[in-house]
Amino acid sequence: MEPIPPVPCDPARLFSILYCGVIALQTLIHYREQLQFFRTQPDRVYGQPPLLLGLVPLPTGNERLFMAAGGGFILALAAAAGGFAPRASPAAALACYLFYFPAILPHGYVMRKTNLIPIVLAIMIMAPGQAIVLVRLSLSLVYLSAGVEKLLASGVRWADGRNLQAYLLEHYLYTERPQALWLARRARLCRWLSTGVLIWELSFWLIMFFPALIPFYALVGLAVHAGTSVAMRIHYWVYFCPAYIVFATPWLCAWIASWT
Amino acid sequence: MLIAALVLAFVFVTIRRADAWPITRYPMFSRPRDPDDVCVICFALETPDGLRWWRPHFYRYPDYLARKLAAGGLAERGLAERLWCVSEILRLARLEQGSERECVAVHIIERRWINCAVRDRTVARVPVNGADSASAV
Repeated sequence: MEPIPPVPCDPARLFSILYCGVIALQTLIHYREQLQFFRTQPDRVYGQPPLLLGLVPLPTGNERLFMAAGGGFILALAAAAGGFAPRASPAAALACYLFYFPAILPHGYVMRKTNLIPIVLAIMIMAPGQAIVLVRLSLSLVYLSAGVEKLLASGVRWADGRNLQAYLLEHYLYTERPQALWLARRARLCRWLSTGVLIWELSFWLIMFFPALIPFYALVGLAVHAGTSVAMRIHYWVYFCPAYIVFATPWLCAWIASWT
Repeated sequence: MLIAALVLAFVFVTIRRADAWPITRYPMFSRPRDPDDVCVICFALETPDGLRWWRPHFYRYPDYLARKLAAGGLAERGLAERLWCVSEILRLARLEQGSERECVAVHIIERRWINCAVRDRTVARVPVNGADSASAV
């Protein structure tokens, strides 16, 4: 009897499966709540959603269209996660995304936090074999953009900790979350955190050239998002952090290969 | 080519300082702020039982309405804008399981952090049944 050949594990393929599966699950879990938010008519308060690429208006006011787009988004992602039509499924998910999320963009855990989804889906459609590199690049650009914005708006003084203290106090006044006040009262810790976050954001792109740095940058990133979630109710977990799967897939593949 | 497209897209929105959704800037918490001068606007619903903060499940609504009202200085904001804010608060509160049912007035409250303590000051009290009453605001 011939030995069973090892099953090849493609990190890009594994990433697509896991990422689509997690985003589908998150949307399924939050679907009812997102529909409730849609029914509050956020456009009455926030105005019309942004144009696609700053150019193309998208229809957002119809509840049936919203529900259908949400259902389609979940199904298309589930199909992609199941390995069915590896390019057509992300394409269908991308189309549904454009009709679903703009209507609920002002929701706390949606906002800019879902912006990575269409980029990742476009990568899966156009260059599925390069997904690992391109998704890492996208994450690097997001963090670099955040760091550059801080420098442009406040200069290096952003890192002195007083900005962070002010934002934490502001959150405390809005929400009375004790975690925000606890941190705001520690000036030295705020200074260290501000400096650390700014350096981390501006240098995240180093992972593209030095993969050995990935565990450090990824763990710091998860810690930063955990911190903002606890202290400021800024929840990147739902739709942004699933992209971090891209850092784990090569190790997962190696682990899978060792078992097959 | 995709690498170049991604980099160019992010450089473009950053330099142009304008979003091309879903390619956007990430300017959160970037503006300079002073912890000694923190002031926010909050909303409270007055009921026969007393005053309670308006903190709906969709928690970005109060933040956004408050920032909209406070932008450029609350005092300079027109009566129409305050009443619009209050009408939206009542509408959203009504949608959230009738929490507006017993509301008799909406308070617009300025909150400051002074000498390690919260200082609240009611800027306006808008009666629910007389939300169009100019003298009340």
